[in-house]
Amino acid sequence: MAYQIKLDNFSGPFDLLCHLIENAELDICAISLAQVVDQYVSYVTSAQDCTDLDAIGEFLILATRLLLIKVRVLLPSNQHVDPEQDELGSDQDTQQLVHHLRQYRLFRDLGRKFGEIMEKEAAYTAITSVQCEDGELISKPEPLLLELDTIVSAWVRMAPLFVRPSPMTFMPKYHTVEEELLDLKTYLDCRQSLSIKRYLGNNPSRLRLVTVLLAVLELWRQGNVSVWQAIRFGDILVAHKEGPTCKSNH
Amino acid sequence: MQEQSLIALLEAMLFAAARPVTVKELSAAAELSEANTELALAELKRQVNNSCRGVLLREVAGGLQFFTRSEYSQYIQRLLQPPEKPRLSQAALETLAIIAYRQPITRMEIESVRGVRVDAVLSTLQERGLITEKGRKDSPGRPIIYGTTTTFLKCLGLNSLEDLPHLPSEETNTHKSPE
Repeated sequence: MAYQIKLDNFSGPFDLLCHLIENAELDICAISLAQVVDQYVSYVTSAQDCTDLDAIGEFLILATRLLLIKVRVLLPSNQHVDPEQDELGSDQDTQQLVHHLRQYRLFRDLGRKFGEIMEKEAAYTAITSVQCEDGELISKPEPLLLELDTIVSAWVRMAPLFVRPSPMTFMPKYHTVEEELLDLKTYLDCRQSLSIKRYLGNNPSRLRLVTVLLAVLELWRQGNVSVWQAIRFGDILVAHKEGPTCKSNH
Repeated sequence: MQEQSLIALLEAMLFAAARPVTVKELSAAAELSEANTELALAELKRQVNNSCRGVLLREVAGGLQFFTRSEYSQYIQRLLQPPEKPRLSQAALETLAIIAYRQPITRMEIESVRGVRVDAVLSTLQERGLITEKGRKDSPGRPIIYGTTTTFLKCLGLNSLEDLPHLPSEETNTHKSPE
């Protein structure tokens, strides 16, 4: 079974690089970098555990810098090329990386030292609450040091978590006048006449009333239908002038 | 006031304060000169720390505070059963070290040293109260600057930031070099 590398074990690309250099018992310098390039690249390319694209990207950025350094070491130096113009970068890049890595290692070691100190310090329990002889609590645990700025910035950080999705309103789908017109035409094609009251059904919405009325008026305007209303505010009957075009008759 | 009763007074005040208390605060409360308070405190410290008592008087975060002796830690844990905080990850400790030595520092500056994004780590350190936002840098984008807190000093048993372990001369020399 292939040995699987866990990039998660390293706190970043510099951590992995430092680990490789230290494993090879080398000091951090340009030559050491060139020596561990292959190892670094194979570590990163074989890493299968890392699904975080940002994290893998950070490792890859360093891989490209390292490969560039290796190429420079392998290619014979060209005295005529102005180092400033050199496509492969200059020695300055290498020196910068060496400097960067040394600096990183320093803080990594300090971090470890901090961890050790904190572990030792945790063994001392600070006295944080005291009672008088009469039992009254005279000293409460230290309150959190909260300042307005801290609260505001905490809220700003937390606020996105509390955003409630705005309540959804389901709107019934209304027909447009054009759609209603088509519906009415289809309906009339198969019938002698149409009672608007029946067509609208019980409790139609105002919007539907208006849409249907406009559609009927449009049909009438086009001269395709005749419209009757027996009494004021009574039912409206609509009928094709030529009678139903469809054979089935309901 | 008799010397012994002065020492007893300081002991009572320090015990009751239950937080790091400065000499200035003690002298003001006891209506004594700072010099006299310091003398009495030195004696109190000698008496407490050199005896076989279970408590110690330690200088942390710029003041004095009573602590239990470290050798009794496991018994105290058993007695009080405090909720256990998970240890800080290596990434968090590295970031904390960078902030401690380079503060005030922006997130971008920390990231340039570590070569990775540090958003999550910064949140952890802030939740633990080890670092805090110290304002904004007067540069384009006005990024937030971070620094360590009194809790940080207490967690590392430091009296002030000057007590941080000294950096090797290499770092101090190269500190200003271009990134």
